[in-house]
Amino acid sequence: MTYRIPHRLGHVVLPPERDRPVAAYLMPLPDGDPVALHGTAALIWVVAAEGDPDVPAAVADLLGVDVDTIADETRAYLGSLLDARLLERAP
Amino acid sequence: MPLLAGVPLAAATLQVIADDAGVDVLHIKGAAVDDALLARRTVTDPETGAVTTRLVPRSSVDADVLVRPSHVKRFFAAMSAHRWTMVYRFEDGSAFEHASTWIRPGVCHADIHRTFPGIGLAAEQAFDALWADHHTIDLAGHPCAVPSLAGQRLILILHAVRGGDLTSRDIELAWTDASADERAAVDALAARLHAQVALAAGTGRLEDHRDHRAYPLWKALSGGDTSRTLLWWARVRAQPDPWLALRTAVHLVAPKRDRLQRELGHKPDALQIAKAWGHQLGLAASELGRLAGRAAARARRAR
Repeated sequence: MTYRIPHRLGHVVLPPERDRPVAAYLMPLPDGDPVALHGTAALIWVVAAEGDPDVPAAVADLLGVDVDTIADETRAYLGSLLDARLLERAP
Repeated sequence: MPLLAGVPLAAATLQVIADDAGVDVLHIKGAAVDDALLARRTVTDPETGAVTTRLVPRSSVDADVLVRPSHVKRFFAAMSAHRWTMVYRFEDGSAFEHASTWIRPGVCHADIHRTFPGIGLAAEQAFDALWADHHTIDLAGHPCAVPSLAGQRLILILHAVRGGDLTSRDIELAWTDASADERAAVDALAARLHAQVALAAGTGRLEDHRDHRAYPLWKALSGGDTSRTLLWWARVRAQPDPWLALRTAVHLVAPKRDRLQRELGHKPDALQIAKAWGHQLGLAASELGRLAGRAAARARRAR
């Protein structure tokens, strides 16, 4: 399954720097409240937002871990991002 | 939220509101500045020794937007309907009355400009001139309108001059490091916008404009002279007609109602407004005294 950024979701991704992990700041425009994702949560959002067809595998590759160890949690988190309308399914 | 995220998110909300309301806005300064006008630093990878060049993001604390003057009222109404609250009116801001400050939960604040200090052309025509060559850039994932590169150079220089910072890195990047063609483009735009005097103040050519009515103002500002009285007089002299001069003269010494209300925590009554007037006039009188002292000292040295 591939994902994309919903229309009018403001987004700023800050790469990791010194002690700060990667972060994604998301906000439905123009009236929403900002949501901050840090570390692995931000990584999952970024990989999904880039349209990678296999998000768990891509995230596991970036983290250097076995995909089986993170696949279920990653899919569950993608579901919560969909529910919060911070991602949407690409057609 | 870090400003590196809060500023572009604020800019993007403003652009969406403007788009929906049919309002023309240009994002200026801060996060909207073109990469060509950003400082660069080299970074050496500690493991490989590879040297790369990185852009240094501008450290801005707010989103700055220039709105088409005839659209200001509509834009303010739309902003108010979308969680933005005005903190300062144009009249309560700088002596130029050029920007109004707004806040919104969750993002940084915004300065909404209706004019830009240093530009002498009528505000609507000036906006037209800047709008004519605009393009869009991505801010927080949303296309946002920005002036041409020449327009951005000019705005950065005028802003630095107004702050009295002639050694500003912005002037270095926007002018000192620019090619002859790039400088010519800035000069041509400044001529269209009647901004030559302010530009000259930032680029070492102010004395070419000694006879211009705006010369004393930009001489004072670019020299970092913070004397309220000197700036008051220079601002009054810079006005193109007597009515505007009179209006400016009164406005610049009048206490700012909204600022007073914020300081007091409630709407000022007549006595408090009268006291504020007294305070302002007292300041003016003491600065006049100081200026007179400086003039007398100069006269003694000249003898």
